Amino acid sequence: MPDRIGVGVIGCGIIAATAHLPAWQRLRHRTQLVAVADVREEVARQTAHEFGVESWVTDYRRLLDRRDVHIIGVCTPEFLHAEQVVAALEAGKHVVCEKPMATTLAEADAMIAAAEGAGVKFMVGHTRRFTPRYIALKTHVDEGAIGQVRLVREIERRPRAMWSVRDRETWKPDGQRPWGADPRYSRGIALGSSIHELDLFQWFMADQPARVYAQTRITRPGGDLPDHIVFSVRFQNGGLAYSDQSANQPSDFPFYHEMEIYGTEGLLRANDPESVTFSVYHEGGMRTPGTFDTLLFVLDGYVNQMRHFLDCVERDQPVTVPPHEARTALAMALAAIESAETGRAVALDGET
Amino acid sequence: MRQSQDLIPVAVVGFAHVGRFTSGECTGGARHAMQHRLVESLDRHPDVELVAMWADPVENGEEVAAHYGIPLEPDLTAILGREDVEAVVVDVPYLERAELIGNAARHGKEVLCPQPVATSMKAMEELAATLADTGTLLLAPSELRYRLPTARARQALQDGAIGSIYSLFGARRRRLPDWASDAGVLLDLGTETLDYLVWCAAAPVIRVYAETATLFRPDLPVEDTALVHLTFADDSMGLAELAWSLPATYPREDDVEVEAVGEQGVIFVSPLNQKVAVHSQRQNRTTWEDWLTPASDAMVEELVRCLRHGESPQQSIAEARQALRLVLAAYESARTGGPVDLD
Repeated sequence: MPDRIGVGVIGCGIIAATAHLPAWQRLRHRTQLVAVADVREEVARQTAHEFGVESWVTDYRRLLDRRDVHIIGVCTPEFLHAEQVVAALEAGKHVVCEKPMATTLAEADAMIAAAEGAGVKFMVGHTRRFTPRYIALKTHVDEGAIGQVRLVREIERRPRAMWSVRDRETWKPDGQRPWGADPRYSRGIALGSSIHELDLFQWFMADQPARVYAQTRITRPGGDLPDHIVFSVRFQNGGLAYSDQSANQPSDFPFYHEMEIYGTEGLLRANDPESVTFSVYHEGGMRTPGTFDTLLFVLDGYVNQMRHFLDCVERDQPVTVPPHEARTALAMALAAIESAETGRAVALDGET
Repeated sequence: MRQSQDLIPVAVVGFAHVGRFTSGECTGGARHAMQHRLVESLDRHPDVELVAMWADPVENGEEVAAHYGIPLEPDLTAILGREDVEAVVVDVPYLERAELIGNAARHGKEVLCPQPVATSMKAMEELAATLADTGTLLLAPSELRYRLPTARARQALQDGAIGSIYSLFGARRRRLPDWASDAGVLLDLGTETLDYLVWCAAAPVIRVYAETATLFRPDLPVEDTALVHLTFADDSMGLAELAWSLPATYPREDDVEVEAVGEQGVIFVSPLNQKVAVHSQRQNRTTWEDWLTPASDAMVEELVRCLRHGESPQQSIAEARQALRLVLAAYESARTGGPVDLD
């Protein structure tokens, strides 16, 4: 192993700019950002400049050729994950890939097979597992504070324009429409957001899901993809989980999570509205600025995640988000989409 | 003792009966908080006189009857037959309610009985027929409509505070083991919670999907947890969480949460948040004590307005029937594993 592990990042959109790249920078005593790739030349160039990265390319495969790149971070939209992750794994790179893992279970299986074949580390970035609040909750669960987990819930409320934190334009593959709003490239909130909650549910419940029921709604005027979802999951051990997630609030609205975990011997509660540490009242109303930082500690989550991945790469240890669990989260999200379309609960096949 | 023709003479019919289902740790003598609060509210109301009380067994009412100076009547038929009783406030096991309310109605008594008032649609229809015959009143309140925060929240929704509604969420939770239930949690807590969501919604329910489970008290033969998904005719979505999930150490014995998401914002309601937190060294624990005006006051107020000013009850047999219909649809969905469509 070299003194500092070389990292290449594919996709210089919002999540790379606001989370991955800053996280890698915080780990610069152990890693070096060697190169970034984006199909948009200007975005690749600007990102490289902004983060002090020496090289930028528009063809991600050039990153895979480099001997000084050991870890690839995949930050592109999910419809590109399978192709890029498999290529990177087959090139012998360790890969940390943004959630959701993929868009189909067949893609997920191909990625898992490629990782096993290549003998390198592969982790899907279910970053909530590395975020301080959720680590604290899991610690209490693991210590037996509430007995056996039986019911989990997380309600999520987001402003519609949450990502306007930066003026970086989101990628429009057809030149017209942001990929996240385009049904050719996105499935909407289930894969975009609910995948977080679904992964948390399986993590806390420590069991396999049996079925999912969901309802969705398109609330954005002129929108084509659901941005509001209500769903429940039944686990094989009988446990239940649910969420109501809306990504359609006005722009001043805080980013809230309301997580509760009920066990046979107690309950854990971490609800943002009652946990706000910093609020501003003025003539226009009340605001809770910076809930990203003060409530969710998002960047800390990404740093913890990348640090963990680095540790696994350096010490050849198993990652704590095994790919088959990421596949299960994906399976639940796809089941939610199907349930919302059919109006019936969707059973999961139990295979992971 | 006040003697005035203006006072409404009320009898308390049922108190502190033990539910059919008790967890291993319940010692019996269930404390039925709503009936106790109704007795307090009735006693407080200047236009009401509490004239008699019946319980089964009658000893269950002794302490409260003595406290409020209410004569105990050991015979149910006798108390229902009393000429000097105008209205009765009923709290008997759910399975017995429809028959008892019908009995009271046939004796010419007006009835206040918080929902649920029946456990089957057959019993509900029979009761409706009886009430149509007797012409007597039935007030069948569900508590969330009578608590100020939840009533105000519903008003805010109706006034368009958040624009058109996208989703409605309600959670109702209770503590076991110090309480016994007459039925599973879906009937017990779901009746008023589903009623409240429907009351808040702008369109009727067209589909119900439910999951039920016994998660926290494996010794119970009934469900202690239920998740009920509602689809409304305007495409808005509803979800209710009902559970006897609060541990013994929880600072209060029940919990209510409501959220509504709409075009222009979110409404959060924590109706039990108006509390005094009592950190007691002597008790070695913290408890949360309500100080907000109890819902029972509003129910008694409505009873008086109905009996003395000719108002119609906000919730009577039709509303009770609608709520039961939802609860039964949820049970059916949970049993079959599929959604139940309502027309």
